[in-house]
Amino acid sequence: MNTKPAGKTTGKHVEKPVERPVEKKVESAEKILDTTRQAVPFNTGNIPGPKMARPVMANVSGKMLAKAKRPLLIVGSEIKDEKVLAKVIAFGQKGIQIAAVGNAIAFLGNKGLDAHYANMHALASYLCDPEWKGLDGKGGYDLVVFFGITYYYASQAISALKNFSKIKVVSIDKYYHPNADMSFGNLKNNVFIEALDEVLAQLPKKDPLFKYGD
Amino acid sequence: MIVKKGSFVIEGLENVQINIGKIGEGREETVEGPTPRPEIISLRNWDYRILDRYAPVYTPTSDLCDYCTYGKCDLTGNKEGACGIDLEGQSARQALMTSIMGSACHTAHGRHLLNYLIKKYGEDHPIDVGPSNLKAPLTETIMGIQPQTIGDFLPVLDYVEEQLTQLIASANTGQEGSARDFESKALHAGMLDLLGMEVADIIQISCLGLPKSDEKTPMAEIGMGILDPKKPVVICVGHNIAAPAYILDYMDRNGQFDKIEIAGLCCTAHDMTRYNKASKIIGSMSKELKYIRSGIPDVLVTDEQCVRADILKEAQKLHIPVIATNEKITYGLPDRSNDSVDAIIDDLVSGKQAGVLLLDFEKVGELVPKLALKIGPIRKAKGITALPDEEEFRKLVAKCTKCLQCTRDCPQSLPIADAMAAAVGGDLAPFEMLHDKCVGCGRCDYSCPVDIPVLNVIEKASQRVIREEKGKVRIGRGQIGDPEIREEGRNLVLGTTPGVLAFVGCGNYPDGTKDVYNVVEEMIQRSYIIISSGCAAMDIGMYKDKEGKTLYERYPGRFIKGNLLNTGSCVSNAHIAATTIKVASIFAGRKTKGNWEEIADYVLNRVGAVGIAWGAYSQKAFAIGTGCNRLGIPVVVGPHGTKYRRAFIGKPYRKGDWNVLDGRDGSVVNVEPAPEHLMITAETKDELMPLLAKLCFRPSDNSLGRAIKLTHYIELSEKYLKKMPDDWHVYVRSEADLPVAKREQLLKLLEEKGWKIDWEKKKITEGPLRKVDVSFQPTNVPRLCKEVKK
Repeated sequence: MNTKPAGKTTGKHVEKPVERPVEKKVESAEKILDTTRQAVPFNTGNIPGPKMARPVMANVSGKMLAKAKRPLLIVGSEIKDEKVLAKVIAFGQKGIQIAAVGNAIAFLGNKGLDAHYANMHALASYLCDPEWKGLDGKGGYDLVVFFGITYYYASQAISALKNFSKIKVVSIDKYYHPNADMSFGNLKNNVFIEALDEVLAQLPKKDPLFKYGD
Repeated sequence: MIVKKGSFVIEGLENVQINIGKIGEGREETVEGPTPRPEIISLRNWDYRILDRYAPVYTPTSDLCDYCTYGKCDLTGNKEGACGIDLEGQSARQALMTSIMGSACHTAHGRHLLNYLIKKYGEDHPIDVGPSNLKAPLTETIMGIQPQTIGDFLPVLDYVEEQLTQLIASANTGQEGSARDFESKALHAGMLDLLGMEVADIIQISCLGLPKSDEKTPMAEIGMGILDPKKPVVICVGHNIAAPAYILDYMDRNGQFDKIEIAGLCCTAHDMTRYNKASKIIGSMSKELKYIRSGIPDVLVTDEQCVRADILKEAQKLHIPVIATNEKITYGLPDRSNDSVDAIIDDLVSGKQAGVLLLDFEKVGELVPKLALKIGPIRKAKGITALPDEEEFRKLVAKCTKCLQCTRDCPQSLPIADAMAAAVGGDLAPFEMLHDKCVGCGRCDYSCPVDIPVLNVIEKASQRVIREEKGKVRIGRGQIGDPEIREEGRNLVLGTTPGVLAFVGCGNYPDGTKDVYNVVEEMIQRSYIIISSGCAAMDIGMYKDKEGKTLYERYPGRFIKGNLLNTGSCVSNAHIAATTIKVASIFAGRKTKGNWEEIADYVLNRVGAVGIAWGAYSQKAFAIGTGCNRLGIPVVVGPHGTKYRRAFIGKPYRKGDWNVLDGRDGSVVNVEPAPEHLMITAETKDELMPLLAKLCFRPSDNSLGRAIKLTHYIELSEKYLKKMPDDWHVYVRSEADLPVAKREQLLKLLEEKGWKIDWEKKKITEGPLRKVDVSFQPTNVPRLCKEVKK
């Protein structure tokens, strides 16, 4: 006997499957990846209120990151995928300081990166404190970008930043994060990797003398 | 003259009537501390001390407030709403309400039991919890009394209920507006929760013959695969033993344990096995919907707490009658308490009624086994189940469009579509993996646009692993006895036992039940004392080693290092918190009665105990955690715990937050951040491991104890995070604090950090925050110092 769950109606709120973002052609004929499609909370019920993240293009988030004086990249337990991990390392090699939350630091050791273990919940607390001098003691941050953290965990943690700090938060995750200031939409894996490449492409090559915040 | 309850008039005196209420028996209670029966602000100063160091961190799930008709108000960015409350205040108010709900739940459970047990056994029934003088540590510490009989708990619950009413009132719009004071009140509610739980468990231990501080209780069977589905099956769901006890008694009297299978889901299961070891345990709340959908239960008996709201609808679909036995959960069912058992059975078997409300426990005891024997064969002959057959299963998995809507609705974001695709090719392994990680909520069923009953499909695909799901749990022992505390207290306070880790709470794990087993196994092998209760205690017993033994079979249950204890059900959590009070009282001679602040201060600074609610989901779990926090016990919750919206997180970089007083002379000592947090989450099991070790540090550790704790902190970090902890050196006060095996290597690392080392003597000459002082008396309470320096 096959029964549907008791009292449950069917097909009331069918949403379209997550679509693959398309590449837009702009006048300059330069291909730009559109990461703004499907900008709805990945977990259906994760609707915090009237202010939700503005969808952002990968190249725009890359430019913001490049212009930041002291940015911080936060990554979490979902970076163990080989392709995603390669991108984290690439960000680190561009000189971006990394907060490795959860067990992410286990994947980032001995790679010459400015990577620090942090507890995500504690980190959110510290980032809301204007007196905090950062993971390296050299000062606070003006921009936080993140990806690869358990979705609901990241979403909750950054709700603290959204409501109790002035720091800009940009999600470059494969999921739309409503509590960020800006966020990619929900992306398929391959598009997500392409999007990270596009963000990376906006960053200056690491000059040994260059440091964010200089 | 024997004075009896009642009233009388003294002749010759006009208009004088003397009422005699509770009769004292010459017992004199000496209140030892300043706060017996604390009111809602009596312990505010202590709360402020906690909140100053462990500032609340708010992670709202909603930026709105819709408590009153002014709203909805948008509080985004900490704006104020129409009533003047900002998001910080609203978040703190929600923390208070969550704590109140949990506390009320346990207290109402205790009240229900107390009224019932007094009616059955009388107010004078003595308290008997085992070999302890400190029989009710929380009651003594909070109320300032030492209860002797169950009737002595009447004023205790009166007090809790009165306080909860005061707290609820403060949450009304136009009342409290300060986040800090909402948090103080939330801590008060948490403390009340511990008290309510203690009453509930002590009275059932005393009256119903549950184990009394017994370290060698027998094993109970646990798992979805333990019952013989060919027999009639009775499943009791919830937390309150009152009604199931009658069923067990009836079955016992009539020799029915070989004819009927009886087991419990959630904490009722623990208490059923404590009451009668013939009973069995299916598992935590996560198994509730899964087990009902299997169609195996023939009768469902509900009491209170952690019962799914849709249990009647689900059961009705499968013709499983529901017997509701508690006023708090009635499902709109007709009250048949005054009808004959046979008439009720006829109506349930015929399907005329899907269930009944039955508040007469004698009738419950008789009805349920009779009903199971009658309806069981009928249901089994029909083969009723919600699970699809093989052919239906193949069709269902082939229907999946990979839209991922189920993943988006799933609390764990499980990759269900991938498992569907694998099953189309005949590979059921991915579904079997999902079965363990799935919390059995059923949200996926609602989300599927092509009507696949996803949970049923997962369970159908996992039948092989479900059949093998058979574990063992050591039956709940109740309190930790005074003799055990005498034996172990010293090791705990000096740190030579690295810590007490209490695994409590529910089954909303981020990555399946196995994580809890793995963490416990690792920590028990490292000589931590592991205490458990509730659903966590069940899940620890679900897995076996290569020799087929569960952790309960491998490790004994005494309160000493390297042991694994199960205190019992959710309300048995009180004994875990109370253990720290016993350490303060028995080992250190601290006075308990009405002396919460001093006891909590002692626990915070000296007892390396940490609570872990890795799968916490309920308001009750939050209240328990908050109560532990007020008692100075840090708590770690899983990543879902961020949805509780408030944590207490220390800031190690703010040196001034870590000043304590030396009780000998009141001098200020800047100490290492120990414990660093009071309530915090971790994202993964790997992150949890070193965090637990770290949260066991206390300022009072002696050098041997600190070296042991440091060893585990470093090793666990290296093992699970692949690196030395960044802050390990903060916990080094002298070379004697360094693990012997690594001393030289660590001295070199300290030197690299700028510390001065005398290599000839292998001594640290400069660098540590403070020196080791074996006589150091750390305290956060100025009045506890012999002399207070300005």
